[in-house]
Amino acid sequence: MNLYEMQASKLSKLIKNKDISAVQLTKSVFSRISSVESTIECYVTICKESAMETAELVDKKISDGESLSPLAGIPIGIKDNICTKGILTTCSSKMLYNFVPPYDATVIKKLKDANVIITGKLNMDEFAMGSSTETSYFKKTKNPHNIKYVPGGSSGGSAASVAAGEAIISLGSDTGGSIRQPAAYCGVVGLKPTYGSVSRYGLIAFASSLDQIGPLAKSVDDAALLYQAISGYDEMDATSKKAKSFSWKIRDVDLSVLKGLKIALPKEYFGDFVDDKIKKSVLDVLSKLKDNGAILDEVSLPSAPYALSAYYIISSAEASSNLARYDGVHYGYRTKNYETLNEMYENTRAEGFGDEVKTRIMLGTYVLSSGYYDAYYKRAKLLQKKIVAEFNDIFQKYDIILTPTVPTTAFPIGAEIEDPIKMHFNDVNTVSSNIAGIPSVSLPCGKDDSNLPIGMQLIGNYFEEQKLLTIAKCCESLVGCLDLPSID
Amino acid sequence: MDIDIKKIAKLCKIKVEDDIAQKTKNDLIKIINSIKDLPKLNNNDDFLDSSDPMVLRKDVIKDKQFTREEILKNAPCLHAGCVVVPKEID
Repeated sequence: MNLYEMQASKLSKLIKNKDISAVQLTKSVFSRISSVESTIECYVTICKESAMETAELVDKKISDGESLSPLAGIPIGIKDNICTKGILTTCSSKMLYNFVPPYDATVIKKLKDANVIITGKLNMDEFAMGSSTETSYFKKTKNPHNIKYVPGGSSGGSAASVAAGEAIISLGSDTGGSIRQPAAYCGVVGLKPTYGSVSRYGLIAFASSLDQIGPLAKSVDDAALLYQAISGYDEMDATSKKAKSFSWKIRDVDLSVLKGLKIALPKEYFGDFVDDKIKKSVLDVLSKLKDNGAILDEVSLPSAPYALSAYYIISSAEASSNLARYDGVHYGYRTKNYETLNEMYENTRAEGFGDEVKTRIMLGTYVLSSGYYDAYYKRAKLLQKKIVAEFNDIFQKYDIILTPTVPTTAFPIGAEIEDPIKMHFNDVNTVSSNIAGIPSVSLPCGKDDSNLPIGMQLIGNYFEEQKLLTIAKCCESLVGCLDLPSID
Repeated sequence: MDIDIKKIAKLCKIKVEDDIAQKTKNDLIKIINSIKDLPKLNNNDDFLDSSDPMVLRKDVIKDKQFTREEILKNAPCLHAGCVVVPKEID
């Protein structure tokens, strides 16, 4: 097995025991990038030189006997909406085509302190708006399982890089499903943490009350190690919460955890809109969970059918405010077609943003405008409260919620880009977790007849990532991780 | 339903050319139609959670973290350490 195919948890032991060096591992990943990146196209910026320098420094620290973090020497890709000092950070948008942040996001500072190797910045849907990575200004990332298909989005580059072996683990962001959906499409594990558990300082904002940074990885152990490294209170983020710190030890799986575990299955997530093959794969997992002593119950989340609408209203409203800063003045793209200040603003934004971003800004402006605020934004926010209450009711009686992550497997490139309604529907099973702020993880549970990965989603209660990931690890042991696909 | 696309464009400061205004309007109407049917809830309720306020850090200047040059490095047009924009005030 090549080093780039291995999991971080195993590589970490090999590096610690000096069976391999950080330089060897980093070379293996960059060799893989050289082989397949022209096909997969998951990177906007590749940082080979700085990565090799960091790898050498890590090896020196290890040989000096320093005790380093579990992720020391592990190559990690970073979604291109997370600020990295001195490294281009574009949000895959023309608007930020030349933006180099003067500071690191808090999560990047934490990862640098943990001695990780940053391989580069990963492609995404423009400003995190999309479900296929097709709205990127720069390139369309391919699904490593079938390069004619999308990797999902908006963290498509993050998911594809892990699935293709072009990064051992990666960071993405999730506002309505943007970690979990591409994780499902690419056959990797993706965690959206509890809102407030990972600092958003340095995450270029889309919808500030919904955005969360999270890990994508080949296994639950790897995702947990990365979450451990990036989580924690940050005074630079006013929405950051002080909670019990998360600590993950790599141990053998303990299936006794499943005995008596109460699993809720909200019927609204298993509707006719979910492909039969996906339902079957998820039901197969449920059957194995039941064989191990879990108790399964159908429940109802009555507001679930409205969650997608509420999400689009709230996220677009917040996006219209957050993206008002892109005006061609202090940074980023500036139009050449202007005489007045107002023309500069209007033409910069017309030329600098792609169609999906402009549509969502206009939608957000509309739902916040005079005469429509009560009918749309206020109603969506009240519905958000109702969704929170319904999840709280479920978690009074149940340990965990289990659903399919996405209604379908990956779709062909170009199949849905002209149909925003169809594209938005990809988020139907994921948005509720963002609206409620609760943690959710997607993990692979099989493949369809076209060999495309299927994802299952576990949803936990606030700040219960320990329980969520422990149960996820049990599920993973019952279904197995997917092997890296061969890429032509 | 109908929407005033020019008004929305003006509010969000995105120029919408006449030749694409109708398509932009139609696309937006399709999306609005797909999200408009939220259940009627008690609109007198407050949606803010007073038990969980944001804690803002004190507005205190820390030691200089960035030089003027670092902060202005990304600016499209600079002159004498200032960002240049079209004249707005006579």
